[in-house]
Amino acid sequence: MNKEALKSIAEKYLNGTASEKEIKMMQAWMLLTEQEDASLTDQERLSAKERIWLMIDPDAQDSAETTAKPMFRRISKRMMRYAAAVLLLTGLGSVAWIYRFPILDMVDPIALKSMQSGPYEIKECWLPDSTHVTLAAGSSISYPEKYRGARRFATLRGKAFFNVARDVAHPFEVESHHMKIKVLGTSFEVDDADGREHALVTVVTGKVQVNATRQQPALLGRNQQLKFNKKSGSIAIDDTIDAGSVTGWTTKSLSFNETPLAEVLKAVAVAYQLDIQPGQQVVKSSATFSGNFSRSEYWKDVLDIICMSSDLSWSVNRSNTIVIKK
Amino acid sequence: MRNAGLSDIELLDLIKQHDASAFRVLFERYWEQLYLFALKRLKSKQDAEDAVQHVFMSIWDKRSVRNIHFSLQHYLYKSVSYECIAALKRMLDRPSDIEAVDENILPLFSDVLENMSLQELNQLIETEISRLPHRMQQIYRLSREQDLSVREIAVSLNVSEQTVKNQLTTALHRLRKPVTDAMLLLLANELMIR
Repeated sequence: MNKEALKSIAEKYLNGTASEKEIKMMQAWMLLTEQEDASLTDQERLSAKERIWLMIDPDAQDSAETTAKPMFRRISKRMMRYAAAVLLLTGLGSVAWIYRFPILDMVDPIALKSMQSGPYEIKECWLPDSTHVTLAAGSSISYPEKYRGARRFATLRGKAFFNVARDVAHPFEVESHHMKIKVLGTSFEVDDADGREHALVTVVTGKVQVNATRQQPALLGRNQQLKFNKKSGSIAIDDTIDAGSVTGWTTKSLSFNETPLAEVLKAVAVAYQLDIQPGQQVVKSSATFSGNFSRSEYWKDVLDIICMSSDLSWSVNRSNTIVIKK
Repeated sequence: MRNAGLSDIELLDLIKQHDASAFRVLFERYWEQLYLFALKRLKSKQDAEDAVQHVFMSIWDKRSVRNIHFSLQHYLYKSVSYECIAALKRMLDRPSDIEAVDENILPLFSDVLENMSLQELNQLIETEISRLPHRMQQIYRLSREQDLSVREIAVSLNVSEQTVKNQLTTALHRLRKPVTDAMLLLLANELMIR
């Protein structure tokens, strides 16, 4: 038997379509492994217990300031009956009832939504549980259009700041390229952009559990940052981070970091819906700009700052086109 | 700790009333055996922790709709078993875990279980059950009896499924005391579906 075959048996067992022999194989696996040795040191016991409890503690004190009303409980009665009918037909019994959500996901899958930010654009979005996400430039996130069952999750490519709606019964999980982050209700930043040496998680409020590839899970609190070295696979935790300054970019809407000036002007034109004409010889190809602009900044101020920093100026001509000059 | 002397059923009653400290007592009582159970099967601490979290989450989460009148221990083992299989599937999906599955879990399936006939598997299961500590034996046997679905009962009694359902519902209304745990579970199941 290969891995695919085993996976298919597990799947069939979970959705109630396994044959008698397949069910028996799973039962035999459960029984034969009972004799295996699984002793823990006191330290291992304590830390495992702490990690498990953290995720299920109904009284967890550390929470994000924003508390949103969960929306995922609104499953229609009709849907429940449908699930019940499916369960009855498959003859799964009561435990299957407990796992009606995974089964529902199979018979009635929830569509995934995704959101992408432009190369210099910072975007905001709200997940179906009212979790607020600020997506850094050049990143994307995908998430189900509604949450059902015990888990809330999202998949991130790049960098984002999360303000997770508190709901202790439904931990929130973010998966990035190198890490899996699990929280109850907190705010934190995940930076797992490609082409960087490290993947980072920075916590602003609350507690966060991070599982970096091939590493023991780590618990982070306020103003702590986990640094995962993608090459060596090692992790380091910094306790002296000013999380507020790390996540300062989230109040901005445009973000440039040594970006070629021509690109900067294009992004500003798109963001403010302007017609900008950089003169041919005026904008040097070697010129770059670094800086962030917030949503509320006036376009004239933005142009002033960019032009001044490159020793240029701008004016509006008769056809309402902005011309960049020496 | 407050509530520490209460029985499982008493704790469950409090949990249904959103009593977080009763939930903690229940967690203290069972987390370790469930964790070791999952660890023996999955050989991965992370996945074993996840499995236990999901079991307890389902108790807290469904506190208002679930009626665990029957043995709580049986319920816990049944759901941790299910979580182990769900975790196995997740591990097979994650490229980073494939090697560990290859080494720790797959050989038993490919070298032993796959090559056995249904009859041999049944014998193996019987032998393995008898090697378990008495308490766990009970749990396993109970679990098997309960796995009879309405349809299976109908087939074995040669009546329609609707008849079985009707009889179960009538029986539940008439009975004050449950005959057996297994019977009650079936009945409770019927009620929840309604």
